[in-house]
Amino acid sequence: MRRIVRWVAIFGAGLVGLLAIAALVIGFGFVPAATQPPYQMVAGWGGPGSAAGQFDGPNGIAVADHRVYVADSLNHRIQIFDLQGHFLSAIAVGPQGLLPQARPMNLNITGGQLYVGDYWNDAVQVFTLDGRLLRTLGGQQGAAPGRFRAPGGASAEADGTVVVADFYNQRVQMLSAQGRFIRQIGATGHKGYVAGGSFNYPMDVAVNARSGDFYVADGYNDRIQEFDAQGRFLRMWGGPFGLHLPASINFLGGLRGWFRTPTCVAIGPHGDVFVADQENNRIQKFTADGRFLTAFSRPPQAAGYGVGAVAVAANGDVYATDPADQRIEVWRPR
Amino acid sequence: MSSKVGNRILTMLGIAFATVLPGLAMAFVAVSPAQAATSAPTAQQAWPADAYVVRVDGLACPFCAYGIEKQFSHMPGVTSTDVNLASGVVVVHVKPGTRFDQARIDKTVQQAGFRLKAIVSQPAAGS
Repeated sequence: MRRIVRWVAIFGAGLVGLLAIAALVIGFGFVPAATQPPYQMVAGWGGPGSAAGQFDGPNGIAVADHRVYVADSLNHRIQIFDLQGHFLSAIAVGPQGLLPQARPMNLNITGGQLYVGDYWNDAVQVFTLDGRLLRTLGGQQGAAPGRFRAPGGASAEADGTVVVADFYNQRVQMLSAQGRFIRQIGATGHKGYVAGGSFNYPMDVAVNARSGDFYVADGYNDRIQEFDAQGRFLRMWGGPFGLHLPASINFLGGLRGWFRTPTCVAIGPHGDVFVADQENNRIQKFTADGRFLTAFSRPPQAAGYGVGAVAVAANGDVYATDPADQRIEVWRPR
Repeated sequence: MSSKVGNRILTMLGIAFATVLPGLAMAFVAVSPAQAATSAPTAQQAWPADAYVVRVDGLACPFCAYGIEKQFSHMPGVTSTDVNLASGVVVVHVKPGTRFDQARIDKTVQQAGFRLKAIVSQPAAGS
């Protein structure tokens, strides 16, 4: 009996050892070196609260036209600032504003319009940059084409096609500007962990205006996926080949170029891809085809995650939300 | 003979693993400050008398928190839900007299995409 136990113990240890070594080898074979220096933080504003300029759950951000838009989720509003952080105005719940109980998440600006994923109302709302409501897509929870279950973010292609990260439906939907269903990527309600074009809670989308391609933050698959304008899969990255390692063993997710729950993706002025790598408390920067460039971060003062969402201004400055400290941070290339 | 060789190979693998393990643990700690910070044990505390307090596996981000809050908000009698991401604790405040059995709570947590670990506290009798 003792001999059997000993054999089982030795065999088990050996097997686990092999797996650990394999993980290390695979892991360190896929850790790219940074080719750019990290950005430096140059400014910040905010704090917890509900007054103008304060936040309760800043989970989305967008920058355009010298203004910064922040999804202040638990205050049910979108605050608008100038690039220095001076409060200008807010889009609040109301007839021409956000829906009741709105829980705005990721924000994206394309074609001079602000796209808001309203997680609570299962809707995507589109506003002018002055905060005037243009239209509401969805608004009723469901799995049917054109309906959403907690959209995390939305953006639009040059021809007006709206692309939506349909979080609980495990899919990305492509709709006409007025909300007519065109196609979807992913199987409705079914998580996919390996194949490109399958998702495990997609959280945000960003359209690259230069190429027309769009990127999806495939949150719990710890990867970014890229598609062409017609929704054809191009590539994915985040660890070896972008193949999802189950969260329980994604102990290498903190390595350069890997992710732990990417919650937001944004495109820079030169087509580079910026990712809010939330559980790693950092922002990572890649080329348009997924080559790692650099990463930067600052640990939050309060408990929680220090990176929620990211956006890039025309001059290359990076604006990021810090949900733990309820603040906005501004980062600049060195 | 072959069993001796096999035994030796397995022993070497075991030793290899034992050698790698500390390095692996150090690498894990080095690359995952966020995870280390959020896995600290929570202090014992008094739970509110008007609430179900449940522990949930897998809560990681605001999307998780809002998802589970939204799911509980659809249950009759629920007045509000507080989610602590760091501790994985969800506090579901209910109107007096509201009762849920474990299966109902379990189903709600599952519909939000998570796994119920335990029901820590329930509303006091009579409330």
